[in-house]
Amino acid sequence: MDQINLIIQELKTRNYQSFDTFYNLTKNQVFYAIISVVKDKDLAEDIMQDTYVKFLEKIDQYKDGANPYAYLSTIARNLAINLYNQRKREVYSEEIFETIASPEVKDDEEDIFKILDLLEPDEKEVVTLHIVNDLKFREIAPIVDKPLGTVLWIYNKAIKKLKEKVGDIL
Amino acid sequence: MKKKELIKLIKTKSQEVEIKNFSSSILERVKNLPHIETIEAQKRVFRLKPVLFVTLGTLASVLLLMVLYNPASPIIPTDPITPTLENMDQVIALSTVSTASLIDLVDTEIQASENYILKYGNEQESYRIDEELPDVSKYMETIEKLFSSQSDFGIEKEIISNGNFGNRMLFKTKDLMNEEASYKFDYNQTALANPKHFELNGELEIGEKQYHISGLAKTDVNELYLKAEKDVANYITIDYELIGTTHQFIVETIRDNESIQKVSFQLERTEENQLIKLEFIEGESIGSYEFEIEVEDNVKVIKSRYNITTNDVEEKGEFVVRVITIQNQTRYSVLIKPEGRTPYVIQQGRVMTERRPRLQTSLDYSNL
Repeated sequence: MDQINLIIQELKTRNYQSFDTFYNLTKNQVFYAIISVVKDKDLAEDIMQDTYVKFLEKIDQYKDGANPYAYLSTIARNLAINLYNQRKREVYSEEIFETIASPEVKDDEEDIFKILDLLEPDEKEVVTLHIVNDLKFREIAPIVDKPLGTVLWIYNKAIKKLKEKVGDIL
Repeated sequence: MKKKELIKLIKTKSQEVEIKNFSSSILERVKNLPHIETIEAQKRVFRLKPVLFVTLGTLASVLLLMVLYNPASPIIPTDPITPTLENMDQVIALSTVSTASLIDLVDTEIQASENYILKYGNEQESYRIDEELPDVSKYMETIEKLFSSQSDFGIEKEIISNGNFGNRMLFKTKDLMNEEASYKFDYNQTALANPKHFELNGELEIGEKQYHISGLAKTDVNELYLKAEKDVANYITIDYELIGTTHQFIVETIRDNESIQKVSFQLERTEENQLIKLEFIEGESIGSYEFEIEVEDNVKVIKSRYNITTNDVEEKGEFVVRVITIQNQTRYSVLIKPEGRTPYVIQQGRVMTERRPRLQTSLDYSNL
């Protein structure tokens, strides 16, 4: 975390020398914050780029001491939801709605997606943000705009579900 | 699959996905953006004075006791017609007793610097069990009361009309010294859209202490979730589920909105035997413990087998817990028998929730 914060200080001065390192340190968190909303990997990669561009564009608004993973996850999620809603409307009009968020599990899909697909959308988000992105529940609550107790309840429910079902798909 | 394994699996699998490196194209886009200078006015910073929470550990212990069960019948009816606490009374009683004792756990963390350790005799080897015993002792009140109380906690229920609540549950526990504690739980239950699901909301009173307790019960799937609050940021949650014949409670202590400890508490009862398993899931302690009660020379003692594995180093053994009285104060005398090592004794403070003015913990070591 110290390394990331040091790089952010550099980025605030428009010094992008260490951006590649910053990207590699944070790309997983950004990717999974998005993929828990949109499911489509290509679309997620597009939104990833938008996320970093927006982060750098508004970097002066980043408060020192904040959790960069939570900050990036929030931007990524918001962009993902916006784009998802936008694409959904477009695709729905073309009657191929299912291509956006197909519920079927593909055989060649990576295991992590098969696991996350066992969950409801809200469960998937909370599990992803907590386990993959290493965010605390109190950091997740404002991101998903739910009370802390609800986040905990969703998480426990999701874990219970996964404990029962993961063995069937892997 | 165990939770730890599941979390590890998710973390591992998430690392397997190849994520392309777009840093060059991102920087290309960013370099073409206009640069806007922003000046933020200095904000006044408010700092909250740290508050010592005297009651969180107590509450957790009561909650756990509230959730524990009646061996004669399922804790939660499998097919109730209407939402009712009738057959989950023991579950709720056990949960609240446990929660109330654990609500002071938050203090245990905060007041650690106030504790003192006295060592006697020769210098001893350092064992991991010594470090974990203070954490284990937080759950000893629940374990004592589970082993010593009537299975139904002597529950009495009545309808009340005064105040904010419509129902009252009175119940009692006993401890290893055969001393009785009384609990009063005033509550409302609200049916949800699914007739087998309902919310609980109430106040638990132990002596002069009161705790707010809320929860959600799903009787069709044998699930109960209870939350006991010291305040909005400091609370205990208990997540109950029936797994086969094992009653499992996941107890989590939250301080300042952060989880400081999570344990799995499992209860297995047969006609001949009663076994309690305690496993630390999150937090500094990591061991697994199995407790049984025995009578030695007409005195009840609690025996435990433990296993603490860290960095592939396994430490295991047994310990025997006795309650002793010194100058009118009770203490735990714990005879620890590390496997292959010399046994030794630790004394640990013991104050039941109902008689707890403030947390007391001290360790006295002495060679056998």
